[in-house]
Amino acid sequence: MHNNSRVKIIIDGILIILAMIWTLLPLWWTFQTSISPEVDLTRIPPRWLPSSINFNYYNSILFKKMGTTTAFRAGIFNSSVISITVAFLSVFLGSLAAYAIVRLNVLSGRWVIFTLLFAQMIPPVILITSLYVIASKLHLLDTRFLLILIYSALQLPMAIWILRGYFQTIPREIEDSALIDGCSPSQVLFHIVLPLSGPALFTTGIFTFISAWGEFLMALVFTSSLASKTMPVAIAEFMGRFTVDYGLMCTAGMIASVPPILIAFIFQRFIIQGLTSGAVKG
Amino acid sequence: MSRKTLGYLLLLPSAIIILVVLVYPILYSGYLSFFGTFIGPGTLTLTPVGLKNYIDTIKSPQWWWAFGRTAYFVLYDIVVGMSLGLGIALLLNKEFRLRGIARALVLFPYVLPSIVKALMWKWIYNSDYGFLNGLLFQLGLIKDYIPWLSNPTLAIHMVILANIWEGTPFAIIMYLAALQTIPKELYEASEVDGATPWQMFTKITFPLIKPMTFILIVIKTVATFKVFDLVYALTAGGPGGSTQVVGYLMYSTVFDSLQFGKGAAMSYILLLIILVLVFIYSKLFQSEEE
Repeated sequence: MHNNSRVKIIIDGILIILAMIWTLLPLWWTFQTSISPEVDLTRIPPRWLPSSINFNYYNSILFKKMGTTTAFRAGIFNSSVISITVAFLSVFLGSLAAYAIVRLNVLSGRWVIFTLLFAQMIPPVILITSLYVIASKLHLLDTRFLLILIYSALQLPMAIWILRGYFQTIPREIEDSALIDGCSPSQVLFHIVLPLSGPALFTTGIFTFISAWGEFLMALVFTSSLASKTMPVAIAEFMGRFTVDYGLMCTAGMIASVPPILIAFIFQRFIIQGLTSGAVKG
Repeated sequence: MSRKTLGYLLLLPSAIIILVVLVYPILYSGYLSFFGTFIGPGTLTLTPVGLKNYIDTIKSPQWWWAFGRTAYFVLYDIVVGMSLGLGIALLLNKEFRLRGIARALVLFPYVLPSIVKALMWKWIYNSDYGFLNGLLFQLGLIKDYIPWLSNPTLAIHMVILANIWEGTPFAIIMYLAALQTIPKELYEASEVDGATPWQMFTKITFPLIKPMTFILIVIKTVATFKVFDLVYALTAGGPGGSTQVVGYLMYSTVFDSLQFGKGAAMSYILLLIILVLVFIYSKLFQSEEE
């Protein structure tokens, strides 16, 4: 019996290690490419560890003036501006809307649930045809404003969904007694409900930031110059049809991964909470 | 100000953004879908064509082919991806040191930008210097390097493998959440009764995570229609159309062939399918909540 359970623990341990290898291998391979000297990358068979560690690629990406690296830096800047704006906007507007739905009895009912789910599940590719025609008529193509608007619209249903779920768990009595004490409903929202909802606001912010940071299709269609091109589009340009500089490409990928990786590591709990509260981004 | 007025006021900004960017374009797509479109320099000329775009789409072998490809993706995602997700969730549900770190690490494929995931796999599959060929060669499993993405049969399976890797964390987290709701006493009681681990899995675990499995199947199916980034970066729909999924076909219909009307008609057909799936999903979700 004792031996038996020991074997079990060892088998579990091996399986867990295998699962971690499967999960992390692509990331590790990309990372080790980014710190390898160029000669290592064209060796057959490949080297599993770099012959020497160097940061030439990082240096090129961050400082060198080249078409693709300049575009990458502009992309990081545009992506930061866009994702941070979208995160704040979705959290703020989403909590107003969620509060209205949960407590002020506006648009309550089953069809709201259905609409919010439906809006989250619409494949964005459905929207690109008509959005493109509309945006070009309004002269909004290739602007950060357009992407902020589109991402906010795509994120708001999820933001409202997560916040709605959280607001429902706040005991009504707290709000009711504040109302009796003479607070207006808007004071209740800003001074009682929102301060109590820190974790949910945070979860929503993280989710919308990560989605906007990584979004590719809309950015590909709607941006064309350095004025609005985001990081994913700039990275896609590293992968030319015929020649690909894998070293630079992997380094760009590593730099672009820093914010989401830090978030996953530090705010793991919030991401899991958001996912299990019914955010449906498979 | 009455509660109702305040409610509408709070809802207004979100409603405007959603109406302008989601609802209006969907309606406008409906309108566009009845027109043939001609793109000139800076102009868009519309000619009414009735139902032609819809009929063309439904009759086009390309559309059904892309549908078949997408269904093939879904099948793998559900059978292989979800089993893998469940397996890893069962492991991570056990008590062990560093469990917190392990749970953070499995999130990585979920949070990384999709284009970065695509570039990782593009480099792994590189036929001359990539990881996969190097590894298989050194293990003695292959004699010659294999061009993973230029053979039609191989290419689709390689893209599917990358897609499974990308989608597993979501299944892991969802299954972990479902597993944590199962009372420990059930297992303890069945152990006293002499149940084997396999019996515990089939008689306790599996029935109790069944609702989550249904939910995941619907979400995964819808999510597959969103597959675009991987295909764009790895194969661009090729070779020989083998990775031409619905999302990619729609994109190239509009932006490569410039058939805006046909793209809009395709959007509507897809929207209808998603609507049915979401209807099923919301039924499942409501029975979960009750």
